[in-house]
Amino acid sequence: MKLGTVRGKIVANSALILVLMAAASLYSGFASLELSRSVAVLFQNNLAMERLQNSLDQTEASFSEYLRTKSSDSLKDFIKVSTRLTDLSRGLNRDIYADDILLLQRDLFRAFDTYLKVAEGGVQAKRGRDIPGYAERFETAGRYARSVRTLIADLKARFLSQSLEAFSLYQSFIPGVLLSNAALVLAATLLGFSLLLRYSRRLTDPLSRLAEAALAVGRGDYQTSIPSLDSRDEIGTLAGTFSRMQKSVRQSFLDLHARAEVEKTLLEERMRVLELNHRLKDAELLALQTQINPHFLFNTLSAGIELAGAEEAHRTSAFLENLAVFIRYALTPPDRLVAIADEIECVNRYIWLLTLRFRDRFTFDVGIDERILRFEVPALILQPLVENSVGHGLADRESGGRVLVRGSWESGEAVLTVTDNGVGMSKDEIEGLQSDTDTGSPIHGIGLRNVIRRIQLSTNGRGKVELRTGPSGGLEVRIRLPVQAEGGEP
Amino acid sequence: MWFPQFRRAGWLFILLFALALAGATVMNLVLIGQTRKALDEGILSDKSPGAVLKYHVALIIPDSPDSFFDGLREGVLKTAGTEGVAVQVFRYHANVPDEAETYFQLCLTSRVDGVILYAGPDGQMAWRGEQAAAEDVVFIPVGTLTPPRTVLGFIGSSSLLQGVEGGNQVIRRLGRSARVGLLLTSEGERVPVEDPVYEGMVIALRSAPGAQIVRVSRARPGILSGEEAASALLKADPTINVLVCASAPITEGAAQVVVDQGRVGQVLIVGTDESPAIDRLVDKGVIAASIVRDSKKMGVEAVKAFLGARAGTPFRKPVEVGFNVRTRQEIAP
Repeated sequence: MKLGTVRGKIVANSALILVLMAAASLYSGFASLELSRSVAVLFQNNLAMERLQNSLDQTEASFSEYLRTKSSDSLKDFIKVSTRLTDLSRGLNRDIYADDILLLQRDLFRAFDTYLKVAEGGVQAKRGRDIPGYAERFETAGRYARSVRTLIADLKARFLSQSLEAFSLYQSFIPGVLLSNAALVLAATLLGFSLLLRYSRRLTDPLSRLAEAALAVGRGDYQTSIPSLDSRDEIGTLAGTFSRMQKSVRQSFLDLHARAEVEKTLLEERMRVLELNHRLKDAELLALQTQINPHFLFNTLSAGIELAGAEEAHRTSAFLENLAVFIRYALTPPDRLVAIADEIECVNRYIWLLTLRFRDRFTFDVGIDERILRFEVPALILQPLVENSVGHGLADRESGGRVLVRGSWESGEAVLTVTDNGVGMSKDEIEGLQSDTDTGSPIHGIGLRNVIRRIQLSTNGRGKVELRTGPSGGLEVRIRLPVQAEGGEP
Repeated sequence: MWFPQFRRAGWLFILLFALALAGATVMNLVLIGQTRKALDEGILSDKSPGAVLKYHVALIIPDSPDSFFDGLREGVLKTAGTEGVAVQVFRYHANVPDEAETYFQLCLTSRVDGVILYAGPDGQMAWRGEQAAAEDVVFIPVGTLTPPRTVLGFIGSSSLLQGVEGGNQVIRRLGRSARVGLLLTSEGERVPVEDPVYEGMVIALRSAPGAQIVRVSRARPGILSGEEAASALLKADPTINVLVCASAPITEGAAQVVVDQGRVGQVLIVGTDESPAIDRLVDKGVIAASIVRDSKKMGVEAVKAFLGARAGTPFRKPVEVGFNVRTRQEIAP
């Protein structure tokens, strides 16, 4: 059994209290025994005198018996009892001291000696058939025996007086001894009870605190603090384990919560993707609606190029060729990715076609940072913007219309800007387009909205299309495309 | 809930009760120790009885309040203490003289070295001396009555001389007009006229014709007996103008009667021996004079005689230790 366990502690504390009570009881018993022994001691001298008296009586009786019967048995008996009397008398004082009782003892010892000598003389006289001799000695021995009895009586009286005097003093201490005995037992009992209370509370207090914490945890309060117990017993182990369990449960709840948050985010993301897909379908539908039979158109244009070549109409041939290339580029799936260089080439062809149509009415300027040419972007994101500038921003402008196309690298983003000096767009229209709400101008917004959606779809929302009024009062459309390139630089 | 303050209170209680337990135990131990000490000093006396002495002497005297015997005992003890003699005192009832014989025989049986016995008027001194000598015990009789026949070693203060001095004190104060009431002790069975004190008084009063002993009475030992006897005497003969008392208790009793009857100065008292009470009464003038037998000297001489006998010096004739008269002038500082 280990002392560190609850059982060990209970046993140790109980043993301590039991030992305490046992010690108090033993001591009390010892004190009582001591008192009773003291009482016995009080009268031990009188008892000794009584023994001497009895021995003298026996000696006197056996002496008389021998003188009367002269039997060997009575002689043996006389020798036996007289020897015993001699032995007993040797316990008496024999020296001369200035002390009454010691002098009386000396008297007694010598009186016994005298008596025994006379008695033995009487026995010898009897054995020698000296009748007058033993008769005289018998009488003398009787006289001496009376003296001895007087001495014994005197000593008894003195011892008794002494004993009573001592007993009187002794008795005066008894109430105090008994009272202190009672106080001792009472104090031991109260001390034992205090220890019992102290240790029982010491044992049960951690349990109570642990129970309160368990109740709180049971109510769902996982934040309640578990009492930290230093004890290494089962309660300490229980508290430690319970604390770890509480932490574990709390952590599990946190993990579940975090997982739910993640799932919620994921669900929202899925919903957004679904929404984007839905919108993509809408865009694709819109694109299909705007398409004519591309193969027929392309084959027709190819036939036109051959016809123009046969007729040596080189300018017409170039026009048809550029148009055919442009249409073929435009007819590619809108969700494919193309290099910015390809996109720029498409824009240039489109500008060539526009220049052919509008001559000097509009001027175009394309300036691209070569570092971004290799980056991939959704197809047909620049051409619609140029078309929008020409078809809407600059539509009412007879001359001086200008469209700038720029490409640059800015802080990890490929930035493509199409700026015109046309009529621009109202603030509401810009906000409507950017918030993806219907502005009420579907014609004006179809190309732009298409570009904005495709940018968002292709970049998972990371790409941005910013609309604002340009420096010359027209519209500036800025496309910011985050590009993932090794080393972060193009 | 187990609050910290209760925890501290719990420890305080434990400390308090532990102290109480320790205190009670210590008190109990002390009391038991004192009890044992009381027994040790009474019964289990371990104290040394002192040095072993050379001689063992028994002093056998009456158990009387008479200061004469106190003086005798004091004289014996004082001298014995300086001479290496242990004294064992036996007191017999004054009215039971056989007890003296019992103690005497006891001493012979025990073969003590010596016996100093106050000799009453029983005339057995010589016989006892012979018995003692047979047991090799030195016998020293002391007393106030000179034995009828010479007893070697007797040491006494003669009652005859005491009576003579008493008579002289009466004549000195009252002359021929003295009407004496004589209060004798109850020792012996002699008729008063044979008492040595009476005889001494008669001898002294012869020098003042007219002065006479008009009443004689005996009183048992004790002041009350003295009062009773004195009162009866004065009642029987109101003409008594002086009471002569033969012992200290009788003197004190007679003085008390005179004071009670308002007759101080009318009835003179000539007492015997000394005690604080007698000294006070002498100082107040209630007692005119007290014939003080030198019992202390008697004790001293008794021990000296014993030592002399043990040393082989033969007994001389009876020794008379004498007396002195205690008066107001002597007591006054």
